[in-house]
Amino acid sequence: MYCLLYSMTMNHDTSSTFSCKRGTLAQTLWLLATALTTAGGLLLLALLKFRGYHPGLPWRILAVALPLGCGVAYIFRLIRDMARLDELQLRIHLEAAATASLGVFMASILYPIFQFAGFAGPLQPFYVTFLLAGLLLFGYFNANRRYR
Amino acid sequence: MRNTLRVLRAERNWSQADLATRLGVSRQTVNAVETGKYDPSLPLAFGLAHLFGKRIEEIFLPEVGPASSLPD
Repeated sequence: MYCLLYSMTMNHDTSSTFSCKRGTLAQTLWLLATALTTAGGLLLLALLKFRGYHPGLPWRILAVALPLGCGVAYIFRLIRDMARLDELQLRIHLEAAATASLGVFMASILYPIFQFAGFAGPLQPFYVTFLLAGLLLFGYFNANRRYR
Repeated sequence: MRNTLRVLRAERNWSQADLATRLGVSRQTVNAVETGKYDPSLPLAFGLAHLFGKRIEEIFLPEVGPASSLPD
């Protein structure tokens, strides 16, 4: 999600298009690697369990460490590439991040009230992911529209 | 904050993209500054002043109102 927003921002850049595109490509590759290693790790562990083998500690560590490493590399790459954004683009990203984080914070406070009132069931982890992604998109487009 | 960027740019026959390239920022930033939607940072304001060979206060003018009645 953030990679997508970042790529959209870099399309506006006129100063160093080549380096920015290279940065975006590296981010996409790390994100892809994270997704592939997560899927691969899950598949491997599921296959081993399905065949009746209990995966040993080295296999389990490998299945966890690979996607985790790729994910951390992606975050570092994203932060490094963000230094190339100009001041207005940084402001737009900051407003989007603030909207998303404050929105999730508010939702976490208000959710128990909704539960007690009978409007919401038990909290699922993917609710938070969807809310975070949705608010990030909303904050980005809202700020982008304001400075257009 | 008002500014004379559009006039200065037109005098030199530069597009917003030209100015953005010279300043090392995005065209969106030039447009937002020019239309008064975004007030630039001091480094960017100095960059603009240097590029047009003018002082910052010749490019950026305060809005008429209580904020402009600050003591000299």
